[in-house]
Amino acid sequence: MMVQEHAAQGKEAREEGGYAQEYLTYTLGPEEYAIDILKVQEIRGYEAPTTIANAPSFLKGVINLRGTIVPIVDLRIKFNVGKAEYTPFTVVIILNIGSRVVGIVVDSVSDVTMLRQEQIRPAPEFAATVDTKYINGLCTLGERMLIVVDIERLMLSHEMALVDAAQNAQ
Amino acid sequence: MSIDMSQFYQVFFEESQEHLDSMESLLLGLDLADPDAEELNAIFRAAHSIKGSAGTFGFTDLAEVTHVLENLLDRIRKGELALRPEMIDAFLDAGDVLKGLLAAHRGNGEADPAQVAAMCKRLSELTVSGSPVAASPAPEAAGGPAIVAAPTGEMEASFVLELEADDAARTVENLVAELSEACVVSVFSRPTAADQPWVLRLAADADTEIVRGLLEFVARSDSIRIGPAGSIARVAGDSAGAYGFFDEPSAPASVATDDAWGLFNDAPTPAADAPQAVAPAADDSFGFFVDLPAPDTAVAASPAPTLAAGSEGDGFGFFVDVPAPGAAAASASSVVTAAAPEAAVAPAKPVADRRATPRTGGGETSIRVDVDKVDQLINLIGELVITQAMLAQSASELDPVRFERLHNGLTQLERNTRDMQESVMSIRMMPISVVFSRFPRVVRDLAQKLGKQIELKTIGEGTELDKSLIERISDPLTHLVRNSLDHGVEMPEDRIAKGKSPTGTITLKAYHQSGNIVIEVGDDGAGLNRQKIMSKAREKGIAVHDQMTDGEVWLLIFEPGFSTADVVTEVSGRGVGMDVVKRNISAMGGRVEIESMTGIGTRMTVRLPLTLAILDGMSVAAGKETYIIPLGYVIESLQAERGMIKSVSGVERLIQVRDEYLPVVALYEVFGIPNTITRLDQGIMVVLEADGVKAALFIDALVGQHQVVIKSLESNYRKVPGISGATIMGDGHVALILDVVALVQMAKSALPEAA
Repeated sequence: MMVQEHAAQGKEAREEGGYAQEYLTYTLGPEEYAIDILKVQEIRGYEAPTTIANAPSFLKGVINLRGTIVPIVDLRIKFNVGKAEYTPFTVVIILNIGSRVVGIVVDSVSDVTMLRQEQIRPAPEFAATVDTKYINGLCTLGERMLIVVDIERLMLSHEMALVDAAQNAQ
Repeated sequence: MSIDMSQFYQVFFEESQEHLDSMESLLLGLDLADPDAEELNAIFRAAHSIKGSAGTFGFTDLAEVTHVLENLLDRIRKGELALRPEMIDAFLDAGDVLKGLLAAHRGNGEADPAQVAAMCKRLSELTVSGSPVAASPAPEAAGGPAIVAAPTGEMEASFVLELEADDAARTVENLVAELSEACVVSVFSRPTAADQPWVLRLAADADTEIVRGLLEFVARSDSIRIGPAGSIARVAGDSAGAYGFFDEPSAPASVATDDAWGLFNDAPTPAADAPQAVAPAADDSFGFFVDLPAPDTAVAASPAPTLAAGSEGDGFGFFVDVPAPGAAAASASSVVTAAAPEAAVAPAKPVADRRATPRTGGGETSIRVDVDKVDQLINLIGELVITQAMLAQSASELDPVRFERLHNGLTQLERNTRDMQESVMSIRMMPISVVFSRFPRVVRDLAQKLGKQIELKTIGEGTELDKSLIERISDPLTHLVRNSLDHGVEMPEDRIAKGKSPTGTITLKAYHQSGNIVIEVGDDGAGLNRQKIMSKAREKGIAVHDQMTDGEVWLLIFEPGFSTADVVTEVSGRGVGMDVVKRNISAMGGRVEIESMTGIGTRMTVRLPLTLAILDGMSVAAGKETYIIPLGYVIESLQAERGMIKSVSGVERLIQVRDEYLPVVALYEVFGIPNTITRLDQGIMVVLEADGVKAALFIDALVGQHQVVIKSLESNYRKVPGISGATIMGDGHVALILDVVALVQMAKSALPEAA
């Protein structure tokens, strides 16, 4: 399994060569995460969503985003970091994943950084809040350590329960 | 270059599909005895358009078939050939071949060149088959001794055997046996000498090519003659060399021996290969030939020139100014082909019609728009409506006197947005005739296969419903129609025995009723058999009892795997279908009802919401949440009194409404909503009915009743049990739409648990 992962990553690195990619970084408690900016549709303030019955607690509900019904996931609850408070400064990142639109609640959005592929080091296996299989690698920027997350895989994963089980089966 | 062209392919495919569809419906509507000239023209135009664009885009196989089709159509619309049932069959089949080709070019499936070739051949045979007979009985009209043109349209084949006479009898015997596989055949006359021809009599529908093919094995190929009965029989007795058409020496036709015959049989080829230029020319050729000096009557009677002209598809024009032979040719063609006594007049009529009614130019009354664009527009309008509602809400807090103009403006805006929403919605609406139009063909084909006589009546084709519904209703309706045809309508003999007309009627009817569209599929057949269904249900282990109402019994046929058919046929009887029909219709938010009377018939009624996108809903509150209940399921709502609430095993689970006990589904329990009213006598009970099961839904309060735009929850999220979708309320919030069927089911399953 891990061998395959590494092979896949190695291939990606070769394909992308030394090109830098832009990442959006956000914080969850003390941790800083980076996601591919091309997956981000927009960043907006938090508004109370319509709750969905019998949904997992991290699924806050659905909102109306200009006529589209968008589910909102609170990653703080999902990964049990920080305090799940909703203030006027709470931020929702709207992601475009495949053909789906999903919103994630995070503590704060930091900035947009350019990262070259070689800067991202494979993550060692460790017990983190985020399963290592969704982590593309780690990256050091001065004092900061960024966790580069494969957000698409994470959001479509079975544990997020955002996708019907049938679709997830393959 | 090819890339440039390919962007138009989609348009071509859609257009061609439309042309084919309209052609099919026109063909099915055509009156055989007296075809409407305008309809024939319309069919011709459709074929012509397909041919034109197929040629442009380089789809040669399409162009080829349509070309032959067009030739035949052209001759029919000019009255040169009388329309025959087998032609309609051929046209319909040609339509199918074309559809297959279209699909193949679109990338679905494979084109079958053999099929194309066979269709071209079949059509070109039809194109010429009328011609030789057109001229043969000419002397009859010209006062010559009558040649009996067999009105049955029987064909004859004459040939001289290659073998010696002693073998001949057996050879011919074998031949007849072979031929009888292809058609009805009998030996008409035997030769008196070895070099004398044999004459076989063939049925009218004999495939001359097959016959010819078989004959060529045993006979001298130059001696084979195939033609209408009578024409050969007369000459059979003549010397072997003179295979003239007429035994009247005066007729120049006797000159037309082998060559002339050859022309008949080869005619398909020139017709098919005729340069494309002929086709447009064919339209005008009528006028072109009228002014020609009248041809010699003898020429007119001779088969050779007739054919020469005929093979190009303009023969008729030749005779217009030559009254006697012209009429003769006309009458001849109709006597033989249509066997209509007054036919001498009939072919003349379309000609007159054609002159009188100028070709109507197909004016552009519609444009082709991508459905996605329309949906986008609908979404945007939905946004506009919400924005407008928010503005109105904000403005209502302002002083109406000081801001009078603002208020007026907002009222105006509200009216405009509502009008706009309505007209945009109507873009998606399509008449149900789009669906109905496929049924004449389905019924025709199926009736033929089953040997039943069916008349299809359609009422209310203009009834409009949403395009997405049109697409989804078509399959369930087809199933219902096939079902009626197969199980409902009896065989003609049975019908006569029951004192009914041998022709069964299937009625398709569509109309609007209180915000729903109702589609009825009715037949005047045997009706459903209560006993049979009941016993079958018992066999299947479905719980039934004798006190069940007819309505409940009929609904059993929607159970999966249920079939009362004695024999499993190709058409139906496997018990797969009705349950799918039911499921599909329920998925669209509709329902099916059955009414049936033994011996009188059965009527299936499908009720659907007008559109999938909009729903009449009742908004209800539970805690801080708002939910929408589709109004169609709501029977009544009431506030329960203490005395109405009954408990089972200490749990309050039932409510007595008049004389019924209904299970209570508390929404706050099912959905785990906090801060709601929990005492059953304080909130509101909404009585719901789904699939014949009733339940009372307990909620906090009723909020209002609106039309809501249905949004999918699944496009970005997943299916949620108990929720069928979402909508956006006037204040921009999302409200969830309850899945009543699931909730009522929950009541059913929750009940034994509590008990």
